Amino acid sequence: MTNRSPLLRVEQFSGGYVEGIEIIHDVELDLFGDEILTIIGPNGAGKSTLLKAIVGALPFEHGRRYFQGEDVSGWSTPRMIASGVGYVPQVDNVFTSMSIRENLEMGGYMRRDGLRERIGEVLAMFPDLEQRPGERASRLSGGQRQMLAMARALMLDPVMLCLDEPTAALAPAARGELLSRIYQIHMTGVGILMVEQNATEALVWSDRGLVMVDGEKAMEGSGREMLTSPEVGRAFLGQEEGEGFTLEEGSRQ
Amino acid sequence: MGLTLVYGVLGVGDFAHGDKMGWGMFLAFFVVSSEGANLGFAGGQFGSLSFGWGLVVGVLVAMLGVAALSLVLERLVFRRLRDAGGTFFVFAIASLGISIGMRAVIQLIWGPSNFRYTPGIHPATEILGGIKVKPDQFFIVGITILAAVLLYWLLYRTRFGKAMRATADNPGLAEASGIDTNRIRYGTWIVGGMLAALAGVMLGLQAEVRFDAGFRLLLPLFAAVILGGIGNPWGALFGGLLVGIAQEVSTQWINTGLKPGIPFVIVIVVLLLRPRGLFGQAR
Amino acid sequence: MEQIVVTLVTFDGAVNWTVGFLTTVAIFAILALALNVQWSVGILNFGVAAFFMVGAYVSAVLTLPAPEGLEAYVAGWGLPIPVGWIFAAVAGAVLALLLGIPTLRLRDDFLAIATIGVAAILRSIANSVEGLVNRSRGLNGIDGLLEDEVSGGGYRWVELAIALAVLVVVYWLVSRASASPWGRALRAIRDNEDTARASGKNTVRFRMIAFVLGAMLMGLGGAIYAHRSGTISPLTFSDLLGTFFVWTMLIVGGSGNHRGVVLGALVVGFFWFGTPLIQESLPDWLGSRVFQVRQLLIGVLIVAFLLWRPQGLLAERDRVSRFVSEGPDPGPDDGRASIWQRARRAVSR
Repeated sequence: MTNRSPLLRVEQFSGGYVEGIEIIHDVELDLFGDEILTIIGPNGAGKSTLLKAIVGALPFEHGRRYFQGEDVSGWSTPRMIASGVGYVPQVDNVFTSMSIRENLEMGGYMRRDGLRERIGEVLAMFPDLEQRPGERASRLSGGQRQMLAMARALMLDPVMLCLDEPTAALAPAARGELLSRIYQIHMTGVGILMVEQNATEALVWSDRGLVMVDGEKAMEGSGREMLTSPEVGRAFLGQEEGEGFTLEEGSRQ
Repeated sequence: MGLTLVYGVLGVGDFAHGDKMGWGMFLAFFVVSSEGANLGFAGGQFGSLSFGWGLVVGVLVAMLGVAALSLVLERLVFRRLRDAGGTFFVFAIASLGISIGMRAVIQLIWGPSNFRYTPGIHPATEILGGIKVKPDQFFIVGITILAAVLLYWLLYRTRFGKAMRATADNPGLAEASGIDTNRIRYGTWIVGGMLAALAGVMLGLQAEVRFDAGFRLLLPLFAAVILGGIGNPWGALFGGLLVGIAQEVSTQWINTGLKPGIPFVIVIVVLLLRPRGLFGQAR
Repeated sequence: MEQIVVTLVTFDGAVNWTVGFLTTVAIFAILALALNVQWSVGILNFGVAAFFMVGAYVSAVLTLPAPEGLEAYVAGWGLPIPVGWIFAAVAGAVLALLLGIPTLRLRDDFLAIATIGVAAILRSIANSVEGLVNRSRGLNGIDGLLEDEVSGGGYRWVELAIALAVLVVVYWLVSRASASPWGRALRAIRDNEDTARASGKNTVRFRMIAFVLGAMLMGLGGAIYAHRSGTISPLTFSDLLGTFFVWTMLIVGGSGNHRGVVLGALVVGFFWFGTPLIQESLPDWLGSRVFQVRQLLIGVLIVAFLLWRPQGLLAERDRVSRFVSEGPDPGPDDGRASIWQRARRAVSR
């Protein structure tokens, strides 16, 4: 926790998809380079919308966003990606008809040099993918596909990775593996901003959590605070009254 | 193959593809015919083939011309429709309109008559078991294989070709990966247009140069594309082969006049059995 | 052509031309309305000519007397003309069922290709199978309705009255259909198939009904055409006249809007059938090519309307036409738009 200037800062963010109907209201958030921030909340709370707006995949009406101190409001997704933001959409996040290696080549489309080397580096992070780089993405399992999607986003050496519900379609066992992989990526110096439905598991791995309800930021705190907070537990983690989350389960160190 | 490429990458079933073949056919004819010869492209013949340098120049002119035409149409029509949020339906109708217009222009310039690249009778030589083949036909098969190999190299071995496949697969993700999808679309039209022109010239060489020859081939073309799975160039090549063989073989049993119906029957059967084409796979 | 021009010079000639023109336009307006029924549920029928042709031929062979001499066609039972009409509609419906069953469940574009194909095949069958419909010689001497009862020059008024009466009935029918709950369901399908499917409506069945209804009306239009012109041949039902011409009427008039479609038929019809009239007064280089120019302009007209006036001459009321994007303008960045639209769909689900 040395450098405390945020990697990403979002100020008074409002906007949405449908004319006249605003999905996000006045959200503020900071992401530091050395943390994993998870946004949780009920369905339709605007979590994914917020993430898409942050990476420039959606036009937004009000507010500003800063990346590494620079005002990036209004930047398109390709521009955001070129400047060091990796983005993994929730669905359709790999080129299914192409091989693992080709997916990575497309992820590194904007690289001028070192494509081959970077593919080697990224593959080394994912042993499952490294074993068969010629395999078509359509033949991969759900977990492997998510890993490929992340690997693709890592091709441009991002300093920040935005993940939209990475574990949504996965079996419980695969979820844990994917989250630990995300943590490993994070440890190589990548700030992680992720949106999650499977809140408990995600919060275990997170430094901070943020709860969104009806397009507004309802609560913010450390991952541990979130997990042990009775309100959050009742509302979002499916816990019964009095059933707290124990610190042993919640600790990862 | 050009059609399946455009279809797959752009999501546009280009109903004008047949007429682009027609244009390629006639542009080459223009070069080969007397008007062209006056411009300095003398005929001459290669060995036992029925054509000479004139047609080689003609093919190049045709490919460039049709590619340029496709680009202009993309810029003037399809891109604007796409920006306006047009659906597949709009593209299909627009390409039909273009198809009609293009055929009318061919008729305006060259009239409704039929032509041949080189007048006269071209004898066929007998190869195995009484099958007669003209030297030109060897040439056509050779060019087709060459075009297929080049296309494979482009799509699977070059950065641009891979980006084309990526755009076909998932345009949104391609854009988000920093691929300039507009440039890719232009490139696709160029390649598709060049292939259409090449096919048109080959068709003119094999049969005759006719204003509606390209349009008549549209249905067999779509049949080949659907058979091979949309967006799959190898499938299209194989599908084309299958449709061609089926059409020729069928005349053994049925009235020659019904030959155009064969690709249609094939399409229906394939759609009933394997909606994704013979080589299509579930996603 | 020369004859037409000469006859137009006199007042009677002008009246006669106008009556004939309006009759033709009314028949094509029936086809365009029928196409609109299909189009309004997102069916892309590029084979209007096929249904038009089937209707014309079925009604013709049923009402003609038995073939003589060199003539060779099936049936020839000399049935009353209204019976021919009914069977023409039935034949259109049967063809639609045959085509729709394998293709309607699949991608939208397959039906477009299948319909364009079936038109080509029907033409080649009619042209090449001996003893079916007299091959390329065509069918001649098809009686008009009430032709024997009305004598001489007055009959063209009867033809016009028949065509207009059928047009009015068809118009009333399609208007009723689109105003009914059934029509609303159809529009829901067109505007958002996902939502309609989610709300439990059987879209394939609805689309099939619309496809068959449109095909019946096209068959009926074909029958009226056959009895009006008295002679039909495979050449009559070209893709250009039988299909694209009708599409142009739909696009020019305004898709999804019945009044607009009729207006479109009138405007496009006048352009098409009117050009021969001015042929004589054009300079030679243009006059001799007027038909090709006309075809070129049809193509240009389609594209121009799609680009600059996608709603047609008369816009569809209260609703956004299918040609116009739904929802707010996604902005100039189309890649972004695609993500954006996908996202919007995800939210609406």
